[in-house]
Amino acid sequence: MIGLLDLAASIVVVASAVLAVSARDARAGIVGLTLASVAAAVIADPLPDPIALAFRVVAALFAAYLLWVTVRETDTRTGSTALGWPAETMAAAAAFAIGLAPSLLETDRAGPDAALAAGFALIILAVVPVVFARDAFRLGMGLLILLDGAALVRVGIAGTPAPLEQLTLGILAIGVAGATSVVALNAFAVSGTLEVGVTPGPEDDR
Amino acid sequence: MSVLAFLAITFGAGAAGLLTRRRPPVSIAVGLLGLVAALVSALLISPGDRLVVGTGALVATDFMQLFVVFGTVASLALCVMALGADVWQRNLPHAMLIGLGALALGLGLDDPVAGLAATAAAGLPGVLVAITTPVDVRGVRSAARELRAVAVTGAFAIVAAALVSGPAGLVNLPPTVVGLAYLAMALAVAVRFGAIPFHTRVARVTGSAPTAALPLLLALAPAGFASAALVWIDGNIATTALPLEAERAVIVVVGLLCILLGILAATIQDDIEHVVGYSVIQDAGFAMLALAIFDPAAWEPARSWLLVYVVTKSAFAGWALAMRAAFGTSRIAELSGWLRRAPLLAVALAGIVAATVGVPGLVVFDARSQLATLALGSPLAILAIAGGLASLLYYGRIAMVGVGPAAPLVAAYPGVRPRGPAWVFEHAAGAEVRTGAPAAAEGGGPTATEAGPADTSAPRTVGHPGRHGTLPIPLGLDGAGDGSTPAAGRDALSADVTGAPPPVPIAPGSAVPGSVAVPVSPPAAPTAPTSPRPGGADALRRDPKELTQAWAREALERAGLAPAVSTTAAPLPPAGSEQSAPLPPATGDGGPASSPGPEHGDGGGGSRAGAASRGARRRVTAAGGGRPAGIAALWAANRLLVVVLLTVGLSGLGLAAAAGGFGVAEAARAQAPQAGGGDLTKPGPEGGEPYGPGDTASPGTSDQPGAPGQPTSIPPDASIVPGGAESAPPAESVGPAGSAVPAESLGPSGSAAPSVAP
Repeated sequence: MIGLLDLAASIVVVASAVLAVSARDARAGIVGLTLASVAAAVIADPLPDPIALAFRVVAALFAAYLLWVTVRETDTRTGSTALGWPAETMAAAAAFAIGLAPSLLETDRAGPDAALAAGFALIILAVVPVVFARDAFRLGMGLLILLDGAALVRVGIAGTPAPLEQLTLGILAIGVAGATSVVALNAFAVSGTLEVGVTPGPEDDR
Repeated sequence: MSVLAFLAITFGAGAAGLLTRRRPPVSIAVGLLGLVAALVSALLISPGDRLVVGTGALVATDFMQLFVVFGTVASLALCVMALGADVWQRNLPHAMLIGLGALALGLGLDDPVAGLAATAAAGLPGVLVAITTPVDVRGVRSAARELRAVAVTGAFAIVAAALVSGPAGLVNLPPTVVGLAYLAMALAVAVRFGAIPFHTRVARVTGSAPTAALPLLLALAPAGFASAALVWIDGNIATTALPLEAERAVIVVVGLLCILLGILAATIQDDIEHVVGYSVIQDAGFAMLALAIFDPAAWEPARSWLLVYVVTKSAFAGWALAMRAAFGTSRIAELSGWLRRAPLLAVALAGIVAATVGVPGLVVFDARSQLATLALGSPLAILAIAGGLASLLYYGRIAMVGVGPAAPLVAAYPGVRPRGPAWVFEHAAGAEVRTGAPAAAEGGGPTATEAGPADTSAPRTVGHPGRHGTLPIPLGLDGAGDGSTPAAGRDALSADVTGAPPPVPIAPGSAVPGSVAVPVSPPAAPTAPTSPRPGGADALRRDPKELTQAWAREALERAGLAPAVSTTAAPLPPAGSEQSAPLPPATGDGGPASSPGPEHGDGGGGSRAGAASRGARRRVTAAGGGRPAGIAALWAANRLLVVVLLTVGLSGLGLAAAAGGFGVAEAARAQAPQAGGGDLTKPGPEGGEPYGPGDTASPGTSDQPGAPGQPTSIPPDASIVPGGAESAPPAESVGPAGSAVPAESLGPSGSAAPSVAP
């Protein structure tokens, strides 16, 4: 049975993630990422311990703030997606539907179905920026969405995380955002853009 | 709570050091003192300490303590060595502190997903040190790749761990899903280690990151993650009693590829840092093999291997750092004769070889043999064991190069005798005379790359284009052509670690901005070093105090304790052929420079050597009004000695660990495969008390009641389902002390552990 609140939250998560990966303005992307991360923290049944939940929310906000500072100091333009937001939305919707399939099959799981569906959708949305991004900001955005997706899949399968796990997930998100900030600032210092390009370049030839 | 103190120190000092980076003296002091405090705190960790956090706990174990002690010692030694070898990275100690804290957290948490997430996060500080200063594109790309690898492996681990562990996990899992989760975890470890075929990240990071940061990037953080993954696999996958042969075969193939191809790649590399990188991959192959073994007999050797791996790889990286510090290059071809000139470094290498390869009876050898035998069976195990021994190929190649005729850079090795204040005066005077030598004849021609190393008559571009930009290397050594100023090694270091542009050939008479034309003696005719040249007339006219202060200021600049004054001039070689040695970009702070250097465009090639001389004079002049810093001057004079001695010490630590010292085997044995990093953390059968050592189900070890080394046998009726406690039979596990422990209470989150055949 899919809880309506969880379903609504999962739709918010997926829509926000689509905004995050599709926006050409990095600030809009950060808004989308923040919404997705905060909403993802509350998709659980039962809800996490209030302190743990608060930590996840604060961690999401802090990660977004780190990215915001980075964008403020560098460039608000980002690579966006080559697929376009309609294609991203369709891919996310398909993954969301696939994520709901186990509920139809009535398999035994400890977590809400919406979490699994949203987790699949986020992982699919993260694939393109993680694999193909040449932009440090976009890479970091993809990695944070990937982690959110993994955490949601984990909630969908194994239930509400324990407080310690919430703590480490929050730390991981902050760490990834901070590392993204470091890479983006240095990329900007080198090239004047956020361009990194993690594929081999001429300077890699030894 | 002893672990909490360690965490507070590591995270606190790491954060404080990062926040004070704009004040380098404070930042460096905070970082180094933080590492010292962390070491003391790690030594004071009491195994068995338990801190309950919510429904979980943070538990100190012997393995965790030894891991962080080894990691902290290696980190501290490498930071001091980096400071002494002029390859300082301003984030280095802070990144190491935060990484060590995250590793301690991950290895101490009893929640599997939390432990994996924390150990994965331990790799994130590596992003801080993957970027060198000044920033270049390659460093940024390496950092981005590191970030991607860490985050992706973390995501993989979270999903995989959620499938078969966690508070509930999936019940009645089909074997396919268990196999996929197992493969996903192994894949995450492989990516983190840079195992073949995911090795390109390692290859590139060794070409861009500071050598001192390589252990954190390639050994420490991946080994911690692998340790958490091993605990998860042993506690959640092995207990399912599913054979998972196809999945294990894939992992074994990856491990075997790492071992065999890692040797091949390490043997053919031309750069010591790359040899270090591929040797890391090779040794990671045995960790991959450990992931493929479900037999409890592999618990101890797997963890012992990881502990030794951390120390030996750190020692090898430290040795590479010391080689660069001593000779100004890491190109193997340019290190001919190193072994005869630097016997202490030869001793250190011998220790590293012994610690890596080992002999029967040493923990490292036995662990490798057991892992190979258990993972591959008898015919193929010989291949893996031979692969481990084949490390001697690349070590032997380095050693063979060392007994050859001394290359010019090697001939310039200044030695590591303790230097006193008198030597500082003399040395500074000699440096001034050398840089004041007249410019030599110029010529044109191809670069070294084009000419090839055998072409001694053609001009060579001195430089190591791989790391930190081009590193101009003083092949000419000194004006007299004797190939032996004691300062040559220093100048090789000081020439450029700032990321100068790649070398370009200099046409005759043409002006190349940012480069200085330096004549070079043919490398085929190196001579033995002689005593330091006496100070020339120019030097003698200078105040010795001024010269000492110049050295002191230079030391402070390199340590980031004082603003840079000017670039350092390349030393002048004897008259002969020409080299193109690009000068680093101007980084001066507007000090009282006496004349514009070549970076300011002082004219054509005819004045390049003179520009080098002026650059050196400017350094001395600028420092003339500097602060008195006798200690810094002595540090500058003795830092190579410190670097070499620390290398020897680190290799000795690796050898001791490989021989089973510090209780490596005991700590590894105690790390039973419970969920999370803690072996004694799960509530006992009565719920309140954790298991004691006598209660853990860790059979197959020599102190168990069963036959030594015998694997656990899983009774055929033990239909164990991951996460499904209700499906497990009420079999009993027999602890080492003979105590009967309900099996279902041993597994993570209620999953059943296999019973032990006494």
